[in-house]
Amino acid sequence: MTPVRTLVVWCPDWPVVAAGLADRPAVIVAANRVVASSAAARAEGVRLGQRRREAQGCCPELVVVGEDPARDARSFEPVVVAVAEFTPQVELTRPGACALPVRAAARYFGGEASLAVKVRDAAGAAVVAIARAAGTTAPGPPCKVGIADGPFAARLAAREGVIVPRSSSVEWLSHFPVEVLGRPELTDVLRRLGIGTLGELGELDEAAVLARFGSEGGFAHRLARGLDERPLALGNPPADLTACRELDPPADRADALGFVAVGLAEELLGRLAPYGLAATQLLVEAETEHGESLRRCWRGDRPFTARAMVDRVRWQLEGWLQGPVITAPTAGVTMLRLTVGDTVPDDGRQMDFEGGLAEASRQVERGVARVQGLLGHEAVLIAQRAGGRGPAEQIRLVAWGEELGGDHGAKAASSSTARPKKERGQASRRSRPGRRAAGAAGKDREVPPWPGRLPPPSPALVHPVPVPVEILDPDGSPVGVSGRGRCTSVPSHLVLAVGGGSSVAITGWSGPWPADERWWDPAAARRRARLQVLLADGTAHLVVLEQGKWCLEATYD
Amino acid sequence: MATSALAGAPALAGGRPADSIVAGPGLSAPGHSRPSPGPLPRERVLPVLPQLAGLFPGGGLPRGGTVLLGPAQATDTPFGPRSGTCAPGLSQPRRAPGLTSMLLLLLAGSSSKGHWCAVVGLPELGLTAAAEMGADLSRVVLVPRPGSEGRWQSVVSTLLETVDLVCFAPGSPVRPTDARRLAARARERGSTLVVFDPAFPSGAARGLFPTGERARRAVARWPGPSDLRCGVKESSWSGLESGHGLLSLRQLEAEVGGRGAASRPRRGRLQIPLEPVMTLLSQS
Repeated sequence: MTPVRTLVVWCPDWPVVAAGLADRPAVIVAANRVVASSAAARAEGVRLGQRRREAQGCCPELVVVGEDPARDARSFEPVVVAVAEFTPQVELTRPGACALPVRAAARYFGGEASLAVKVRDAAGAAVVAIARAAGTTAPGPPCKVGIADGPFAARLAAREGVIVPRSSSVEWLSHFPVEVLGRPELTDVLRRLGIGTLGELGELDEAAVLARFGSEGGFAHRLARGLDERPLALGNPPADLTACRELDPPADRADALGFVAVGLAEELLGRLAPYGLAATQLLVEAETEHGESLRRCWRGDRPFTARAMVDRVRWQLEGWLQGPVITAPTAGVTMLRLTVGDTVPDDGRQMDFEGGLAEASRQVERGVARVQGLLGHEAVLIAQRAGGRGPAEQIRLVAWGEELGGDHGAKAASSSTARPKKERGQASRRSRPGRRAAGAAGKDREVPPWPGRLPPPSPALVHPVPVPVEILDPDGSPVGVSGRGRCTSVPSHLVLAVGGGSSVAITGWSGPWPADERWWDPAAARRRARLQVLLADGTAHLVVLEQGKWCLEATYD
Repeated sequence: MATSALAGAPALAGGRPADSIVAGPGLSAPGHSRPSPGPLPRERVLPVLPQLAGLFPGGGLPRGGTVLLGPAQATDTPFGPRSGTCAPGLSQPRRAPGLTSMLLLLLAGSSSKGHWCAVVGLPELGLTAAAEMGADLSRVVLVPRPGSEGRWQSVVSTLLETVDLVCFAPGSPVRPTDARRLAARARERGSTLVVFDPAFPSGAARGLFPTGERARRAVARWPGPSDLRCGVKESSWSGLESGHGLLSLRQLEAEVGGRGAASRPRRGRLQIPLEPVMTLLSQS
């Protein structure tokens, strides 16, 4: 199969442009590594793959933003609209790049060179509009366009902004270093074997490469020989690879459509599975009540999982529904259709160690999606342990389906039970900002240092709204906490401020544990002192003093 | 584990051998007068923490059953003042400190074994404490506010179809028809419904001074059937003195009763932070 002549539009540094930071030194980080940077940052010596600290060391005024594929995809939509003026068969590989087949369009627009110029100008205008909307003053890096045989060669051509003549792509590719394959583990081995360019890789025997490097190596070998990315699908794919759902009532929120997409994606994968196929191209179509429609074609590097399909649907529809008024639909979406465009043999994916568990979590995902449909996306939460001093701060609640941070609950849980319990009387050391960052990022560290945090056991009830109380000494005057972190007098009674002011004797107390948090930031600074009290009725509580007022924060129920 | 734990246990009512009470699978002690109710097959129970296994028939929560976590029956209690009168026919709800901890222990038992759990209607649950008891928080789905009348029923029944253990704290008295329907749904799907009904007045002050006027107004919210009833008889803290020390050790005396195999209530004492084994007090 000869590769399809392809045009690729590439917007350099797209994540930075999407974040509206193209005109200043800025980086996008994922898992503490730089994944994208602006030209200004690169001029200061920032490189991809650096740690955040290293990048900040190169350039102190660097703006650091977290990775957000949804934001990138959303803001890329206007560029796709502009490119789709030339041919409707636009294929998105990832936000920041899209591809289209050249053949018909080139004939209509007067040759490949003329088409390339037209597409570049249209995409460039769209990018400038986006950058301006995102608040960037100077225009971002210009869009680049390249044409070559096959999407892989076209992507490289776009980086250089050249048009590779027909059927000379193999030659042109052979001088590229193997790193352009984007597979670090593989290229590392190839380098050590003395294979430095795609040409050298392509000269090897295909069977030998397959035997030594598996399907990944075979894939790289195909690319190096200038063949199409996907080998011919073996076996006949099922005829009907479309899953469609009519929506009544119409949905106008992307997350509601995401729930619908979950079912459709499962259905599609279920139909592909008996043939041993996996989808690498997905066509997402949506239609509204007023007849507006949006169709986008997504291409994945790896076969799509159900989750990946749903993400694509959500990105695309978010970009459409919340996009500029001109292109946004005027009514709710009434129909959603997913079509699998291209398949590859499914050569397996590492699943959960016990297959049963994976099946169970899929069932849970469906059920929870239904509850979210009933109550809203934010109503179903999952908890994660986080750093903090108070009982409420040690838990971070995340809406179901959203990304959890790095620190995983179970590990921290088991380590904290294993710790010795008697470690009382933490001095009220001031916490430093560096400490905090280390605590939040400390994945491997068992217990991040939180001076002033109460040791376990933690309270079983944490009152969502702290209950105002009064703590009185034997004479009936209020107890305070001095600047040196000591109680001004002995607490002897706790009076509930609401509900008739019933008073209970305090039989045991300990503390205070002062917490002077974020003192370097006047807006977020909080000074508190916590006290454990045991009451005469046998209940134990955690009370907290803030700005002269005692509140009941939690109960050891 | 059972023998070492029970070596120091007090004499048991009825003089039955101690190890017959720890009803783990394969632990049916031979040669006692009455055949003990055989342990349920493992698939029919949800795991609890090993420390609690002796309390539950079959060594776990019954799948398809309803477990009521509520105040222990007010009979002869050495604990808690009985103040005022109460509506005829209703037993005086007693304060039950420690009930939330029981709930957390049950959550820890199931989620740490990889079972999915859901908690409905408890925004005040201390999840740090749950994690310290060993719960795997990534397997606990939280629905703090299940919505108004007419909504929560479908939320709870959807979750019963989905996860293995649903802990539900009703915000208002549940109608008997709804209660029966939910229990039937659990039975049908083989999941366990734990109803957390401490008979406290709701609101921010849950767990506070539930004696006096407020306690008299508080009534049990779950009218329906329950296969097991789990309560806390007694609770005490130690380690905190006047001005020094730390709440470090808690003693709980839990009681589990109910229908069928659990018709004779079992009581056991456990410590938090958890000891390796629980002391089983009696099976009266």
